[in-house]
Amino acid sequence: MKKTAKALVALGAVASLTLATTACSDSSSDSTDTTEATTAEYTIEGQWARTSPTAADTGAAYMTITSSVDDALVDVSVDASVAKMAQIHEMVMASDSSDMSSDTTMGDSDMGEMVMQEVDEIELPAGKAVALKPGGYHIMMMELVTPLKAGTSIVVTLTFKSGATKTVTVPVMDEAPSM
Amino acid sequence: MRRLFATVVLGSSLALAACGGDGESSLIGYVPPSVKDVSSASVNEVTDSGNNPFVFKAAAGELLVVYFGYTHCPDLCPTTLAAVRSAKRDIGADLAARVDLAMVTVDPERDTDEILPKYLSSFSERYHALIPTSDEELKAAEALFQASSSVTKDAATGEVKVGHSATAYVVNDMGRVVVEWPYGLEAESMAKDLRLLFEQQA
Repeated sequence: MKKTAKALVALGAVASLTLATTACSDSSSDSTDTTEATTAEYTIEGQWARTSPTAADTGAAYMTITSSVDDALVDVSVDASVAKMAQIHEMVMASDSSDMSSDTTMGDSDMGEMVMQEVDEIELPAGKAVALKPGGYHIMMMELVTPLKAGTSIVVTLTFKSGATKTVTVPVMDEAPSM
Repeated sequence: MRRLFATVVLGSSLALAACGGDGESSLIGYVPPSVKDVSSASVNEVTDSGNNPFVFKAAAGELLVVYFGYTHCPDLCPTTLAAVRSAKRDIGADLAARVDLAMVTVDPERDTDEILPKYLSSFSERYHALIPTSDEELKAAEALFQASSSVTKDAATGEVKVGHSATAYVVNDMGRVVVEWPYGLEAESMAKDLRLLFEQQA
């Protein structure tokens, strides 16, 4: 990256314009400036957050993210009126604290313990749809300020490694939407 | 990489579960190969009218779904409990009225009398909020089900990390586990199992 600060600012402006465009229309990308190869576009689909059970202090949001360039999701945030904190989490088997190559660990009927852990980033290989879904990655909201109620929506801000950000309106639902 | 691993494990456990029901039954969940009687331990149940020991046994002609979880769990617990709720909706009001729900918190320090009953009320009209009064009480119940859990607190940050086996167990009126639903089993499959279990009971 041998760009001047000025060029980066310009690039940022282009990127945010593109984001604004894609937010309004999911249709063709004909209008995209193809000469600007480094301008990333992010497509978010199937986003939803689960209704938080009564008295629950935490909530989770899910979505499928596709980036047009190699990138990574590095941070998430929600409005302070929704929750005090949001993080990227993933569910893993408790024994999976280090890499395990074997897929034959299910020796008996019982599942091992599953734990949730924070992850620094979720890789987004160019053009690949990466799903945040139950049992895998999720956006965890901690210290909910108000319960997440079905029929309402929350706004989640995604920050990418490229520096771009994208806000997504996430409907709150009792069940995952059928794709 | 991690993500892939988790998927593989879940996948294989489901595959295993599918093969578990050899014989005459065609339950989709995992059927324990030997009798798994869970009625010999009890866990403290919190109710409006006081606390009582709860024995893992469905009422006559009913089924009891037992889950070990915690309310700060944003992903697995609500996913499974919501699937159970959907399954009950699928099987119709008459049968659903005969499905009871008990959740044992593996995090009794945070899941107090105030919190757990309210939490469960989001998923079922009938529920049993089970809050172990000691670690021994929890471990004894887990041992019967072959469930497990661990709660660790980061001394520096105060962050609590909870690990738990994420299976839901269906117990009959003899206090036996008749089928186990591994994490990720869909509501439709749970509904099929419930229907079949009620048919077999009739």
